Amino acid sequence: MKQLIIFDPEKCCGCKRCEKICSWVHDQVFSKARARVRTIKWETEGVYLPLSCFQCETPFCMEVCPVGAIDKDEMGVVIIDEERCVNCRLCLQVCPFGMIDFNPVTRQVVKCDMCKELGYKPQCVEECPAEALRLAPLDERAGLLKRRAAMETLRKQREMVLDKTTMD
Amino acid sequence: MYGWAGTILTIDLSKEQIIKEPLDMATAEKFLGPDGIGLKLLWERVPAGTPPLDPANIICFGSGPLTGTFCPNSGKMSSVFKSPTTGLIGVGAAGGFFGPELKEAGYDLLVLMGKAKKPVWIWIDDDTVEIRDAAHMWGKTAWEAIDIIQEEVGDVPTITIGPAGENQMFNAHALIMRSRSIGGTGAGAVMGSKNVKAIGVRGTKGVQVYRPDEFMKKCKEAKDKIINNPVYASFARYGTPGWTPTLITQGVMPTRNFQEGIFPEGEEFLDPETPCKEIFVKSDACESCVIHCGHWCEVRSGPYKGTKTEGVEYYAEYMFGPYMDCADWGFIVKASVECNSLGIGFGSAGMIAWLMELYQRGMISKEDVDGLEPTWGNQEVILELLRKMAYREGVGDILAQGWEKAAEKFGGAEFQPIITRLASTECPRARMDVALSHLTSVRGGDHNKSLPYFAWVCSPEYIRKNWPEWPKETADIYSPIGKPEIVDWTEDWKCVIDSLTCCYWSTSVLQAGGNSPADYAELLTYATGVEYDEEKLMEVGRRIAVLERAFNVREGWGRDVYQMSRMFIDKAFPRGPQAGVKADMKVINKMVDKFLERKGFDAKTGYPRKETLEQLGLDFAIKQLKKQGRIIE
Amino acid sequence: MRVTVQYFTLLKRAIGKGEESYEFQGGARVEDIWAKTLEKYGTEIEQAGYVDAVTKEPRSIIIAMSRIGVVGLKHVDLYDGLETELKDGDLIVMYPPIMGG
Repeated sequence: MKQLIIFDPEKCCGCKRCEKICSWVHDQVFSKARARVRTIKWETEGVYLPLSCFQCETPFCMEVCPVGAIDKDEMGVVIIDEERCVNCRLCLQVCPFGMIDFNPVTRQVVKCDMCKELGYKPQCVEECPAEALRLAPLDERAGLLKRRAAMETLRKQREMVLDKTTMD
Repeated sequence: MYGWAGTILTIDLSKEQIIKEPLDMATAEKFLGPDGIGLKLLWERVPAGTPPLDPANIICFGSGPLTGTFCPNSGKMSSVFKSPTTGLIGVGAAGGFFGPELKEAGYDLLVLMGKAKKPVWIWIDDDTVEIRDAAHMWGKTAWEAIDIIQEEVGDVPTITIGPAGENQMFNAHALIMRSRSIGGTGAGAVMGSKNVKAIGVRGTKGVQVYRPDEFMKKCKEAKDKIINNPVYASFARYGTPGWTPTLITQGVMPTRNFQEGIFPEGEEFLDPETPCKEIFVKSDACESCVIHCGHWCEVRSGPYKGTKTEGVEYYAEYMFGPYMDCADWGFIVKASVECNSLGIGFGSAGMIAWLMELYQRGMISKEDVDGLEPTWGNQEVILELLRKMAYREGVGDILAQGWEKAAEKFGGAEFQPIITRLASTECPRARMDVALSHLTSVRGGDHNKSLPYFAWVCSPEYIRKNWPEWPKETADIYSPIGKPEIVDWTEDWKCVIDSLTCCYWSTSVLQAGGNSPADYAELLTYATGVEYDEEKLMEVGRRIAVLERAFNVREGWGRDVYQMSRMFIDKAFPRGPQAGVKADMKVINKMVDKFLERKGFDAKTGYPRKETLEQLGLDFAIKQLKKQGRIIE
Repeated sequence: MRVTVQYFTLLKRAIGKGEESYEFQGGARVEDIWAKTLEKYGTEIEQAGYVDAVTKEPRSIIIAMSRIGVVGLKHVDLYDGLETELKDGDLIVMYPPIMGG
């Protein structure tokens, strides 16, 4: 069963525990700069967007890799073969979401692997204190996004500008 | 290096030198974090009697050995300096993201000394440390400075000062990120006196721990303890505005400059559900926090529509609420943003309330206030006076010099809520825990150093069970009995927390089920590889607390610094559960005497006893105090 | 004898109101107030986690009392806990604790 991580910016409180645990799992050091999941924060707008690789069905990165180091595994997770990878960083340039990263310390291209080595139990999901990261079957994720888009359209049409609180 | 980063970064602004020194491990073990290590540096490098705004003062910013790790709620920082607000030790802690980032860059402590010839900002990018020109930021608000910095180097954590700091207003604060601050004791003024507009940091080195498997297991336990305790749900939803029912029901909601203890006209305003409905959009958190007591706030209607910020919390709520006779959450957000941008601590906003009382009593006229009428609840005048204070314009220039100067000009010292050199936010008349903790606080009379919050939050049973050696009246905050014991303990414990640097809200003393000193000792042991137990950890706290108090003695403050304003002694709240009660200084002074003796200081003079310093390994402090004749042998 | 009870924060949210009064003929204790609270709102407050599943005693909430002639507000454990005898005009306050500052 293919599962993906759903990111909920409305719940994200910006604590960056996801980044910290990610660097721990993959690099055995607490270093948010090396995380493969990123919480992008617009601090003047209060918008916090936790994101990691979308595990595309037809990944851009896989398409452009000149040495074939990127492949989708049996669970549909897009994995970089570190032995093959020459760190040319072409994949970084083509990912439209910016979700492939360059680890500044190891100087390697890295991306979210859904914590494959822990049995596909993404630790960022485990450690989020606000349930802003959640594991869900692929179908649900697509459906959720569709529903969200529909609600947003409705909202704008009804001009429900004031009722923005999500504290309930 | 485990836990600690291993490096102290000193910037000599006069000589334009960057100095990196290894953190001495013996010192680190004994003094733990910035409150201890920075304090020791302050003692050694800054001569007694140095004026706080003189280049010879230093200001330290840093974090402790748990910061940057996965320990929940460890994303804090603290600061040590000689305070221009009080002349006492200046200390403060803050959340946000700066502390962890500085640690991830490889530094435990940043020390600023001397004075730059012209405005500068400090850019720390792992090993690269630069003193950069800040002419293009000087004169701008703190938020504008952050925008400029982030344009130049990216979205990095920052410490900035606003016009208040540049103009060395007596308690200008250092703004951490956009809404956290090191405020009460004038960190911003010290930075301004050194011509330092801002500090930015990026760190990629990260932090290691010594026994990772045990550490991570203990971190999970620590997280569960926080989340499973009784206070968590309330705190996560309301943040510190959830505190108001306690003050309302006790009858100590400070209203109109402490003239009243109740604010019935603001009942709905003070209900913690009201900000949830009106301004809170969602939860917000400091680095590594699991409580997320902060909120992203937006004003959706009214004259301040569109104002938005992270962080609005209790201090702003009461200061720009009942204290100045307002009850408007939109105004609270606006005033918070103004204070943060201008770089003014909310505490000095209390001067406006004081002016309002003088005006109410006819002791000042509008001519005294540049033609403004400081009537109760006058939001326009409040915002204008904040601006004037920050820019030192007109009456703002007098107010910016502090409470004493303002009283010299206008009279009315008897209406200033000063306790031990600082304006208090809590009423010490009936609550003995407040009276003692505020009077004896080393940084001046506020709630941050030794107020035993847990005397209220925990059941009396919890206190009896955990400290059976204390008298049974300890749990009664209205009884003077047991207060020296509990305030003494709390002071040591807070020194530990502010040196680990972790968040106070995640500890057991606040939450009767959160993490205890023994829990932190375990986390610390696994993180650093240095063996700590509860006793050793509390001894570190005591060492820091005693050195802080000894520093004040060194700076000329003896027993007679522990004073409170006549307004608490001569007047009482007219209504509510604490009506008619005045501060009984005979009873309160007895508590102070007992507390000082318990701490190892002489009750009569306020000086430390030599053996107190010796027992805690503070021998280096003895020579100076002996020379001054301010030590008991 | 008239006793007022006030609820705050999450307990108020669970119960749905902030204040009410009780009339007692003859003597009453704090445990009688608690019994009435369970009777009227037991389901809601148990769901919210404020009732011990086994003993049915209050859990994770402060119960404090303001009494005429006594300064301030005191935790009932500083009297006789749930067995504290009530007096006319007492105010009982209940809420899950939270700190500030």
